Amino acid sequence: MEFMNLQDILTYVCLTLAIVFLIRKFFWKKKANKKGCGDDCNCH
Amino acid sequence: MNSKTIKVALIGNPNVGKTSVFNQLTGLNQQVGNYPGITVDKKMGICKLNQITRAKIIDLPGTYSLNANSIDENVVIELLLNKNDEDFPDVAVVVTEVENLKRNLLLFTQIKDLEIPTLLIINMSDRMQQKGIELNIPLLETELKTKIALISSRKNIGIDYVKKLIVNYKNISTEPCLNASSIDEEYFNRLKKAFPNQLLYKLWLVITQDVNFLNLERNTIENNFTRSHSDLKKLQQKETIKRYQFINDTLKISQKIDKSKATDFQSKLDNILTHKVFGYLIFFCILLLIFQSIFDWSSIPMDFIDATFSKFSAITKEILPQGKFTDLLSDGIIPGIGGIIIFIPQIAFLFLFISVLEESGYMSRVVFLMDKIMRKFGLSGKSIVPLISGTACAIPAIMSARNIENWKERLITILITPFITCSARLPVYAIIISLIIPEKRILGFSLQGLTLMALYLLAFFVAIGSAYILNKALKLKCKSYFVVEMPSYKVPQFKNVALNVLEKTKAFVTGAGKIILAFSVVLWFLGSHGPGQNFEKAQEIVEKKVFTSQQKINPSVLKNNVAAYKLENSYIGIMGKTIEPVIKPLGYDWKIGIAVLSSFAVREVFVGTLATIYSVGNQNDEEATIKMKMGEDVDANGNKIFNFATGISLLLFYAFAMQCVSTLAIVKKETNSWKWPIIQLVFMTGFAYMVALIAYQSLK
Repeated sequence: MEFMNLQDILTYVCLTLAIVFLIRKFFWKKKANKKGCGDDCNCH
Repeated sequence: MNSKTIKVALIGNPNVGKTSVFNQLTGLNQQVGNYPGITVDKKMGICKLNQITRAKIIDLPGTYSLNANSIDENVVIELLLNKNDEDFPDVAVVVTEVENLKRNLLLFTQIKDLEIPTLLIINMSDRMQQKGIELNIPLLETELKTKIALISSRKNIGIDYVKKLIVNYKNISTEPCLNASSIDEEYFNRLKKAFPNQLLYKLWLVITQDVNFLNLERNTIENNFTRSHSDLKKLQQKETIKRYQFINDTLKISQKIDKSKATDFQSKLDNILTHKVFGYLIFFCILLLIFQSIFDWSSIPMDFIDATFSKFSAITKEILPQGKFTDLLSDGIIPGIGGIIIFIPQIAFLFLFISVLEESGYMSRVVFLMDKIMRKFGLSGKSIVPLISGTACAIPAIMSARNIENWKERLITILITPFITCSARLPVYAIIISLIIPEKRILGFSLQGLTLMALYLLAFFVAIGSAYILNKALKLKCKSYFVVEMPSYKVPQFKNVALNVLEKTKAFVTGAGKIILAFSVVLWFLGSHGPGQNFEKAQEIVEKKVFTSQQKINPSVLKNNVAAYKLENSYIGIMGKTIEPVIKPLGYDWKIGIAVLSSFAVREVFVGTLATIYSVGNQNDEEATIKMKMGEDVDANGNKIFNFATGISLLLFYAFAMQCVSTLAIVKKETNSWKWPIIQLVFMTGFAYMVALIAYQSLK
């Protein structure tokens, strides 16, 4: 019985990870990295 | 002892073997990323120079000069002018090649004038004797005020000397080659007076290019020093003439070319490969060979991978205790990973051929050959580069359209590139072709290979047909010109080809692979869970039906029927049934519908989805491969699901539909508008639906 619960837990952890990964991939916009430029580079 | 890292910028004209030098220096210690804020590829690598010193090498995009015309070229200027950039080089290494030294030295003199320690590498030294070229290196070093390494990156000659020169970069003179004032004395003297602390040539580049990293008062420049566009162009031309005068004088005394020694093999070969009839014929034969090989050579490793994963899935089920996680592993994750790994052989072979063609110098001949066709359809010869790159992935291909100066030609190229068969379509084509096209041979050619080639050609013709329509429809007038360099023919270098194949295959596995795996987990869950009594009491309902029909039924068939009934009543089954009315006219059942729907974001997911669905819904023969399960699947009337009509309809749908979120995002970025990606999505998907509908209805 204990093992069955562990199986359920592992399953839901995998599912959560997969959903979070897909949301991050398709809906979360990454911020542009600006540290490469100087103060007044006018490129952003 | 403290270790030291030297930052090195590797710069050079296109086709001088710069990437080859980069590969020799860094080997497998490479990273590919993006430049901040833009999506130009940034290649970096680490090279161990000696016990305590290592170099961080940046392979910058190829450029002919510091007068940038494209975003790629701008990257070079932005890095060399911006001292605040974390990658600003300690030393610039300019790669040139022995046969085009005069033209290559223009860029060298410009970089030298930025007063950055600049090393000169003269590549392809192994061809000097064959071409009758002699160089007086010590004299050339004196004239150019630098250190020179004469190397052959292909034969790994002189690379150690390059490392030695990089270690001692502080000994390299930073004295410029050209006095910037000589371009226009009056103008440059005024500039010098206004900004006494700034380097004159840097100021000149700030004025001519749209960059400003010197913390200057932009208004001061604009009010006092900006001239009309044509005036600036004239000054740039004057600068180029001055530089070539200097280069000519230098080479006159340090280089000797004995033309009688130079063999004319290249021009003879060019006459054949770019011939108006034979050129196309040879290109067609090469394509035929490529697609035949992709199918023939890949089948053995693919069958092996497919069988191994099916076996692995069955073993997992056997040895692990029963439960949800075991099911997730055996029916979701393992088939999901298998759905990615199985296509590695085909993708590796495709890129092997493309790399060999590029490395040998043949691809530039194809570009030249195609220019004549491209022009008739409103495209430029340069459009062939994105179109060929599109066979790998539409995203870098669309980015490479930045080389096209003419906006209309560039826009048309961006809009039609997603039609080209990318590597993501390859898994879909491969599985469907193997299901519906027999393994026959016609005149020695595999019928499956011919079908694959036909799909690639069909996509190309639809792409240029669309370009023709867009050319007529878009009311934009721009002038264009086309210049292509014909690099010397070379025997492809194994290391470069291998690294390219490795990089592209890795990108497929790690990029699309992660998405496919995540989708597999979610799909497994949706396929293994369902609402209501139908899913919960599937066993009872199916047994009751069997009992009522009074038929004798085999226990394994009963088990399979229960699994199929559960799948039909699972979340995914319900979703599939909901969209069935829309996809039924195309010949697809709800399972295919789910695969089509889930692959709208990423095409490759199609195969992974079917692999998961067929694993969840088929519990009978656990060691059967996914292909076998799909091939044996029948509808309620006992007809095969993956029959010829459905297969062709699916192939055509995938050939034309816009199913890639990342491509849409990059089109938005490149065109700076949502208008074009939306038009692309609606037109391509609508067209795909219509073509698939006509195909199925006429073939069924």
